Amino acid sequence: MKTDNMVIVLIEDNPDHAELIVEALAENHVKNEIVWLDSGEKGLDFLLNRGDYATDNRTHRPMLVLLDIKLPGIDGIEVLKTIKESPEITDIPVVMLTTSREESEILKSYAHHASSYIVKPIKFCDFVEVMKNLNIYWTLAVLPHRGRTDE
Amino acid sequence: MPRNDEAGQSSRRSTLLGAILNQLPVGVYVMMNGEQIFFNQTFCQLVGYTRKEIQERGLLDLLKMTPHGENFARDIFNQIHAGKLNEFLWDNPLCRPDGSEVILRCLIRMVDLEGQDAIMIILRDITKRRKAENEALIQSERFTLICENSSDFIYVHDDQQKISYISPAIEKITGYKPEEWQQQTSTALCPGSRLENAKKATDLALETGEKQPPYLVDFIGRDGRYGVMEINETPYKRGDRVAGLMGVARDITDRLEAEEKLKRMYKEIEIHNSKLQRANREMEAFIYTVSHDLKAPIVTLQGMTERLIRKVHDDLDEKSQHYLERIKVNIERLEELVLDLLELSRIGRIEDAKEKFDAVVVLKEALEESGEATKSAEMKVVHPECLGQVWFSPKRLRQVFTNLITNAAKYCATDRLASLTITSERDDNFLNVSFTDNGRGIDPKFHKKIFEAFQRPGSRKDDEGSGIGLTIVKRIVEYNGGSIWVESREGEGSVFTVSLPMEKLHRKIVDERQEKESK
Repeated sequence: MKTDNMVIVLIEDNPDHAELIVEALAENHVKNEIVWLDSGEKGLDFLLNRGDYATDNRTHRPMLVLLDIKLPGIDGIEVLKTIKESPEITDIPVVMLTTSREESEILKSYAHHASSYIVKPIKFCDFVEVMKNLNIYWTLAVLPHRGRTDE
Repeated sequence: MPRNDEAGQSSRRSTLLGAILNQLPVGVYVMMNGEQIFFNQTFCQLVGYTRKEIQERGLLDLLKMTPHGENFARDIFNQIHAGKLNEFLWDNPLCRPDGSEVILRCLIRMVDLEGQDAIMIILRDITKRRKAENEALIQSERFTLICENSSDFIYVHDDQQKISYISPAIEKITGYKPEEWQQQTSTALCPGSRLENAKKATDLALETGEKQPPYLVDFIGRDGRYGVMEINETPYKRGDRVAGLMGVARDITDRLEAEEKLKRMYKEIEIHNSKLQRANREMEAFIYTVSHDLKAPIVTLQGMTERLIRKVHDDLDEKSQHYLERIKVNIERLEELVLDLLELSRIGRIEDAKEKFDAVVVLKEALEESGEATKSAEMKVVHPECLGQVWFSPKRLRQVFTNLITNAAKYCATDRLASLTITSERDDNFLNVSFTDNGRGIDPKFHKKIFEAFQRPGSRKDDEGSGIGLTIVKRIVEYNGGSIWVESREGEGSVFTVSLPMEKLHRKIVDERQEKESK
């Protein structure tokens, strides 16, 4: 059984937002595989090897989960809670994605042990900042780049 | 010597009689053939003349002093002499020579004196009695006047459970005359369950002699009108025995109706109020949801536009570059607007923690926060070292102050050195913090409008922002129990004053103050 510990999981229902994030990382030469899941339910299925992913022959231990706070169905906070209550994945850093700096949502995320948050649209420099703060910047597979980055 | 004895006895008897007559409490005067025969000491005292004066002037001369006069008296005497009158009783007011006034009851009658007709006058002083009678009459007249003219009807109830008096006002109230009312049975006049209790209260008052609390009875008037009376009964005693009671009945039908109407109105207002509150809450929730949902497409627009600009900017002609630039600026404005809307809906929804602190602490933070705006306006800001303690949410107050400072910078004067002076003044339980600028000023006709959402009176094209900054400020201040107003004239600068509670306030004070201000 293979373990993929270089994967970044993106749980985001808005395809445009997902595209923007994926492209921002790609543009800045992040080579880690990004798995995009468009609902909280699917996200949890993937992380906990259940549902569609029950027969997967891989154990999913991503290096990072990017989790949108507002999701239809199972809400982002709910997903966060489930991750942190599941012993096998509780130590994976979860960074919340939010459209506003509304304190109540951010405080709620921290109360449920989110590692950090980023306000959308994601700027690559914000992303790098968070990675550095979480001490996982080194796990990013950033190729030496030519040309400019997103500031 | 029996004869001598007899003479002596007779003389003694007459002396004794004279002494007794002089001791009598009534005046006695006897006259025969126009000549004075006898008058006693009391007579002299009553008429106020000495014995000598009476003897010299005679009775008729003295009668000149009375209102009826001499002729009236002479006429009476003649009539009695002629046997036309047996006796005559006559109350006679008299003014004595010393000026005192008396009322004398004068009884004139014919008496037989040793076979001859004599006139005897008996005088009795009735001044005191007459005075007492007069007073009693006045009292009773007054009482009648009160009873007959009161708009309440008054009645007297004796202990035999019979009504002995009803004042005429009953006709105005019920349409029945007092005697008609008495002929009806109480169940016909006063239907309804209240009558039982009314009877109990009356019985209790008569039994104990103690006043009972007022009670209500229903009644049907002569015209079929239904009404309610309020009855107040006061028992009275004769000696130790309860002799009856006096009742006052007031028609309170209109009052009850008015009260009922008022209650209904209150209820309606309450229902209306809660509907409004609900609508308001729904509106706020709606604004919140809409603005929150608007954020997602804005994020997409922002991200995609930025990527587009980065990708193709250099390959585009100038016009297309300009279009892209304007799209970007407008998305930013859109975002600002949505953020402000979110903020506005948040004020009523989220309770912020309040504390006590000197407003200057927050003012300094706000000045730092708006440093860029004041710097680019080259605005000189002056404020004292202390402003005073306030009871407020520090976070919200910073928002208020920042808004007022950036507004002052935004609308500052361009033809002179821009300045902003911040001062404070205590007003009862409130601290009034004033922001005085020398900027463009605001026409008084817009003073109310600038606090309404999306109003930028006299706005110029270079105005940025959503136009709800002051709306947010007003909401924050009012939500925290304070108030805000502006004094300004176009071209002469503005003074924005925020009135902030200094202590945790009782809700009532805040409501009264805001009500006063809204007038």
